[in-house]
Amino acid sequence: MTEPSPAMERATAVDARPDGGRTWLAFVLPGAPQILEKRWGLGGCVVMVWLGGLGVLGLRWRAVLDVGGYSMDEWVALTTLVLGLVLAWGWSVTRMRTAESPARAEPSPWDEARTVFGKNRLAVAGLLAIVAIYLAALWTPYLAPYDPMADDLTRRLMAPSGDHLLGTDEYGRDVLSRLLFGARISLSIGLVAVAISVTIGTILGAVAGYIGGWVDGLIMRLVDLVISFPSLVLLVTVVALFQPSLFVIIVVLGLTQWPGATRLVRGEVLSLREREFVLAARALGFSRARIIARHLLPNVLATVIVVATLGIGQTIVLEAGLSFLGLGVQSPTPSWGTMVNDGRDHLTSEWWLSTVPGLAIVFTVLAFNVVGDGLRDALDPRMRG
Amino acid sequence: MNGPPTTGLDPGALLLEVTDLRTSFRSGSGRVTRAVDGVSLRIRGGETLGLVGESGCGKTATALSIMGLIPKPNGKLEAGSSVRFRGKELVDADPDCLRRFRGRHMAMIFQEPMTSLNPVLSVGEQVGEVLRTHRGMNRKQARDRTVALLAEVGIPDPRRVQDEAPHRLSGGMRQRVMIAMALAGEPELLIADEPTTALDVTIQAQLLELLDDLRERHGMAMLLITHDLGVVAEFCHRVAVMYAGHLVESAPVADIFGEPEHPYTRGLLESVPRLDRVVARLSPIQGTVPRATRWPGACRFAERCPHAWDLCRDEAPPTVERSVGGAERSVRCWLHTSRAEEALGTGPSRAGET
Repeated sequence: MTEPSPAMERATAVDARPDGGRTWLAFVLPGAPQILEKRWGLGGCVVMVWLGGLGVLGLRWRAVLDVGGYSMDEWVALTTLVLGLVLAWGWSVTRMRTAESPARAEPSPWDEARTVFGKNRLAVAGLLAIVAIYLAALWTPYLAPYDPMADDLTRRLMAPSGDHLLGTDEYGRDVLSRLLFGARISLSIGLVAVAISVTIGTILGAVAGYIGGWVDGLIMRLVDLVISFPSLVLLVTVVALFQPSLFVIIVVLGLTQWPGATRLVRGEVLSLREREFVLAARALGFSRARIIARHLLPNVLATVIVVATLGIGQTIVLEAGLSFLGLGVQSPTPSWGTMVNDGRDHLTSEWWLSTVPGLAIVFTVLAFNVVGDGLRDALDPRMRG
Repeated sequence: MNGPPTTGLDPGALLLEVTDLRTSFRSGSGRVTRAVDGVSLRIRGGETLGLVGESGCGKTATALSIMGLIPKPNGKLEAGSSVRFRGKELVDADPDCLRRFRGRHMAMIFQEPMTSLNPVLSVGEQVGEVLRTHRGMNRKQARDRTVALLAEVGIPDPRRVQDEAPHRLSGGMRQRVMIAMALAGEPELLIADEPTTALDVTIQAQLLELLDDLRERHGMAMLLITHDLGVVAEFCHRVAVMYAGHLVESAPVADIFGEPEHPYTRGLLESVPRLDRVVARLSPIQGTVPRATRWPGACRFAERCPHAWDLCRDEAPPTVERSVGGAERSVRCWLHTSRAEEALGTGPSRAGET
């Protein structure tokens, strides 16, 4: 196999550019030039944002322009829609400019990792799927055909049809609309809870690993304590103590899922701190806080990214589990877990009620896991210097 | 410490005084090993002291002890050890104060340049960090100074190199970056722990020349740890020889090569090939360094020493200090004490002629 190196590919792409065709393309269809260079992940994401955004504007312009009485959801949708379109176009145009200067001769470790990731087709497909799911979640107010919480008892339990693409549930609510709104809830819970848990876990792990001694002992016993409870039992107990609300669920998931990250980061820091560059940093008189923050954390960043990606999938499943038990997001607010629970009584007759949100969970988690694995393969060997 | 610019230091003034340094390590099984046993050293401003000895004799442990970098809690300096830097005692100094001292007043470079740089930070970020920590520079000033420093240590195209990741550089270049980092704080003392051992022979000479040149230009003192006697002869003013945790001999470099007193020093010199003398066979020192866990209470070199007699195997020799023509030298050997004359009927001078 004598594949040209990615740097070479990029270099030839730069040379081919002055033909004008691609410049034109970059203005009209951001992301398309990247796809022509076979950089599917990057190009695909940008094309999706661009075409999706334009599609929403074109088909639902009435909803977009309806300024009267915006809800929080609609503000989020409007902002991300405008931002997405502007960024996609702006990125594409500036890309054409900078690409004309010669490409950097020596790619950084991050560039190399990106090339490895780009060669992993499954991971790229997963990434595209995640971006698509997030776009759908963000732009839900324009995409959902009905109000997801509006009951209509005359139209309950309808099979999928032209009016209701995925049918209706027992209160006559449109399943497709609920699925889209549920994506918002499930994805934001996953994202925010993981952000909390990974931040806590990384800091504690780095401190425990570097400082050692009784600090390490204390933190790791705390980890043991949290891990020794079955995760779901712990969640159920804590949620039962408070009123289940979105906030409580996010905080509880965030505050219970950090031990995994702590252990991994601590292990990594334990081996890193024996490396000579840490001794050299100490010999140069840097403080502990500086060594941890500036010398150790960037070195565990690759691990943290992988842990976070895999963690989002896991957290979505946990939230679905909680909601299924009735302790998560409360009806009528849709989350995928709640929807599966709602459809439980109708499994034999109206099977789509549980199946559709269930498939959404499986699909999303699968996408996150595939991307996480791809990131691990891409980042691990590169980031070790 | 916010002292005046270091270049103002009077060359020749006593800079570092290590007295009776004892560093011990506790192994996992609880066994205590004393890696450095009663070492005393003096370094004057602007001079290079060579610290030589075989692997495992405690050279690096001595350097780390001076820097206050002995890993806790398994390693510690024993009571009575003293490290004075310009008269300031460092052994029981406040850790935070000692930390600010490192990098600013004394810096250290290590043997292994391939792993001594942080793989994820660019060269410029790493040098700049020292400047911002110890010299209070802002980002812009630090960048400019970094370019100057990289140029000073002989890195071609420093503007480009400062944005490179370390793994793009060769070992020699990385060691130059390490030197630039050590230099950035403008320390009065640079400890170089076998700085060229891991590099190509051709690069070794260049780097040592560079270090010597920088030492002179910045008025630094240098503690050069090496096992290469050729390096010692060329770059050091004084030499301290270590054997099994003890300092066995210390003298100006000419005296060490001219009239070595300790049998171990003599052995070291005889085992080095020389161009100016035809020798049928090199004579290596017989045997190996005893392991630190089994260092005898008596003279530690006795078992390998061609001159050893009963007393050497029974009692540890004292350190004999004297001043020859204004230069201090010391030797730790029974042969150079009055007991040798009593026991063998030989004087210290004759013992050296065998």
